[in-house]
Amino acid sequence: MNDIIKVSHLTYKYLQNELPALDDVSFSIPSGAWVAIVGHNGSGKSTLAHSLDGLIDFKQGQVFIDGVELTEANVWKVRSKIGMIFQNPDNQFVGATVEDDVAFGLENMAVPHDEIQARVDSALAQVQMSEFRHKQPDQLSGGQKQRVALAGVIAMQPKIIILDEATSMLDPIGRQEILGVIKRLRRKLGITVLSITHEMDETTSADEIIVLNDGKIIESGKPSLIYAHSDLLLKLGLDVPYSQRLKEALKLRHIQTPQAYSDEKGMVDWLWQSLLKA
Amino acid sequence: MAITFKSVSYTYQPNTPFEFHALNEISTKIEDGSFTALIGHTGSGKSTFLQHLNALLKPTSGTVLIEDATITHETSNKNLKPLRKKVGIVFQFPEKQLFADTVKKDIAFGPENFGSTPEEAGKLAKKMIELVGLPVSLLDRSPFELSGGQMRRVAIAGVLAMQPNVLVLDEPTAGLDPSGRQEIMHLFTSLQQSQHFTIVLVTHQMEDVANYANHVIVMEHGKIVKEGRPREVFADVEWLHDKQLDVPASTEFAFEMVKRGFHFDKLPLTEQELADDIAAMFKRRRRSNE
Amino acid sequence: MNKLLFGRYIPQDSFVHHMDPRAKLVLSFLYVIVIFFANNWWIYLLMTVVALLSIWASKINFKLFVDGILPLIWIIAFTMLIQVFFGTGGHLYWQWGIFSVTSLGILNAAYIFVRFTLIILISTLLTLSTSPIQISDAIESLLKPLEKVHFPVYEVALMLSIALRFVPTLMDETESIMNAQRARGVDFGTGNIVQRIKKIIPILIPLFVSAFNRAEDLATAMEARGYQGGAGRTKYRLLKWGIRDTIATLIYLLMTVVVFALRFF
Ligand SMILES: Nc1ncnc2c1ncn2[C@@H]1O[C@H](COP(=O)(O)OP(=O)(O)OP(=O)(O)O)[C@@H](O)[C@H]1O
Ligand SMILES: Nc1ncnc2c1ncn2[C@@H]1O[C@H](COP(=O)(O)OP(=O)(O)OP(=O)(O)O)[C@@H](O)[C@H]1O
Ligand SMILES: [Mg+2]
Ligand SMILES: [Mg+2]
Repeated sequence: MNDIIKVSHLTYKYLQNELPALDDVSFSIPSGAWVAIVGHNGSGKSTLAHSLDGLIDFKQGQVFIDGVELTEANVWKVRSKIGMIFQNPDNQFVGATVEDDVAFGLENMAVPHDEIQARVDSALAQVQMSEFRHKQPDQLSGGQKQRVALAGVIAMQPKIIILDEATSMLDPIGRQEILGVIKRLRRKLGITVLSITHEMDETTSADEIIVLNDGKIIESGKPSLIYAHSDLLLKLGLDVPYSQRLKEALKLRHIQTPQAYSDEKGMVDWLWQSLLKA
Repeated sequence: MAITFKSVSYTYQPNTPFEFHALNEISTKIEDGSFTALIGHTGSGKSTFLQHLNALLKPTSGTVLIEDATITHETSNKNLKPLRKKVGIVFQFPEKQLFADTVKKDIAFGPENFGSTPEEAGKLAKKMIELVGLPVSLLDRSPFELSGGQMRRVAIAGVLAMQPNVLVLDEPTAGLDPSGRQEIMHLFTSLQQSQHFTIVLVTHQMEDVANYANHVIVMEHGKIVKEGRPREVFADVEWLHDKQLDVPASTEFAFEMVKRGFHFDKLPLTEQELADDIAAMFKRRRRSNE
Repeated sequence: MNKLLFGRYIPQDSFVHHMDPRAKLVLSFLYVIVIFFANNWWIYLLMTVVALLSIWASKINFKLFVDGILPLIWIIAFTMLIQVFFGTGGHLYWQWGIFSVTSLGILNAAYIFVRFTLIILISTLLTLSTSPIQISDAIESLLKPLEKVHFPVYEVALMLSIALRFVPTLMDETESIMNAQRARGVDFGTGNIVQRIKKIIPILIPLFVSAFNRAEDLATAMEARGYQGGAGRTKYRLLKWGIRDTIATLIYLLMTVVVFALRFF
């Protein structure tokens, strides 16, 4: 069994709403992959993330995490395999200082004191926040708080990290910091990453993109495949990556462009080939 | 309505261990009818600057001229109200300021504080909710039942209802999805054209700066480090990279092309400009091949 | 980001900062109790010396302590005035109806001034030299025996530390909401009582809504990180009693003994 996350026919409706927030959602994610879930505001992304971690008590459908079915009985076991980072940097900072916050999850898991110490040290080093360990949250920027949240998660050594718009309240530098750290961790620890976002430029290094709309999966596949469907993305209120937008603008000017999607670098190469190469 | 800064400095909590110089000797002018974009890293002093535009903060030293009112360190807190009516601020995450039990009352709150009768304010509320593109039927709903994007619009309507001359926007699209962002930015530009607003916008989205602004201020550590038309400011891509600031995607793309040997008379700012330039290159190449 | 000065932790590398917070908490309490037994200038002198010594050992700028007293100066002055005009006994200097100024009244007023000032100095020292989390750890540790009677010591301590952790956040929030409403024409601090109360509503409701949302987010985040209540958790922070604590305790005990000797013998 190679799929670390497997979801089948998951449906969930909030009591006060008429339409379901998730409508018969099925997908699976291979171990070690980076999968991005995109969708407009209110498309059900957070509801999905919460369901995977057992934070929502869904009645229809099944979720398997690392081969274990998510049920009321083993929800804590499943949670120990997943680390979640949420959107608001302030509202997930539980500890009074950076080191207390990183230790919080370990204390919950009843890790012995000496080991907590060692794991907190190494987790802080991995997100490059060691020198901030005694700082209080109000002395940190949003990006730094999110890095602390990430340290709190990796200290618990999960197999999966779910990022629910973890960068959407950050400035560009804060976003770059977080994405950089995640890429590095994934390379080093081989963690499966599920990132929820509406920033298309954060999906470029994903192995797969799942497009969610009104609680349903509309499409999924490799980034190049998804990006090439710019009309669909626009219709769903999403962004189209810059190189694809430029391509559309060139098409309007009657310029023959390559069929397949290419990123900025690929586009510059192609322009060089067609315009400068002797 | 013009606003002028003359060597404005601002210090938070002066004479304490937490003293912080957030603005250092800022001098600049926001011209009447202009669209000014304010960019810079987190903590560079953008929000502190904004709060001087309607005297929510008063300079520790220096003066701010808001039309013909002079604001200094010594200005009394009385008589600031007329200024606040003329300069409307949409703060970051403005939906946080909603409090009334209906959308209508919330939008009418500003005008009533500035002396409108409840009837006038009610009429304004109706007008403004249409202006921000929401159905009139929402007026009697509670603002807390709305979606995030709708709440944001209601909050913006609440500021527009004061009928200010200057509209100050602190990252008005943060947290919205791409189509929500676009709709809000369209709203502001169409308002500027129809109502002749002066707009000051804080943003991290360089596309918006390139598309809408005609004046850019770059801040760093409480100082203005560059200022001018977008084309002037974005011309020096390397300088901006050095400061870890973004440039518009089209400018970035063109810059990469330049590195590969392409030539631009002036670096394009928008997708349309870049596409035009590239199309022209194709035309020239075809002609020289023939 | 309006940071309150009074009672804010000032990190330092000092004797006092490195003490066990339990020792600091208990000794501060002891000091406050002992001062109520003071009844002559020798005792006050001794206790002032101990307070100044403690402050000196904290390496914190004395000006910050003065800043701590200033906001309370009116309360002190008012209490002193009452003593001066209503105090009785000793030599009578002046009388008018129920008011009288006597030598004992003046002496008591002076005592009250010193007493107030010393209490403020010592409690300011505690909060300036001890971070909120240390205080809450100390309280938890001191309350530990109550677990025997099923008092939820851990939960209370966690609640306290989260509340303290969110104080600056909520203060920022209050300020930003007030600014937003000011920009919409609210003039805080003018008008009659009814108008003033009405102006609080546009602050209170958004603040409440936001605090509620934060609480919900925080609960979700805690659950996602495996929080299932206090039982069976280990602790990252361990409190350690050190030589400094023993020294400080000895000094304070000595002070207590001398004070009682001066008073009762
Ligand atoms: N606690 C709740 N109670 C009722 N309805 C809810 C609740 N949370 C979400 N919803 C509704 O469920 C739908 C999906 O919401 P969800 O938060 O999963 O969307 P999302 O894709 O995460 O959006 P965003 O990009 O804004 O975070 C929306 O229509 C939303 O209004
Ligand atoms: N009340 C305050 N007391 C002390 N320092 C403050 C206060 N408010 C802001 N500051 C500091 O002043 C500096 C400038 O803050 P400001 O909010 O103007 O930055 P900004 O450019 O708007 O940042 P962002 O992009 O994060 O909104 C920051 O370093 C901040 O920590
Ligand atoms: Mg969400
Ligand atoms: Mg700001």
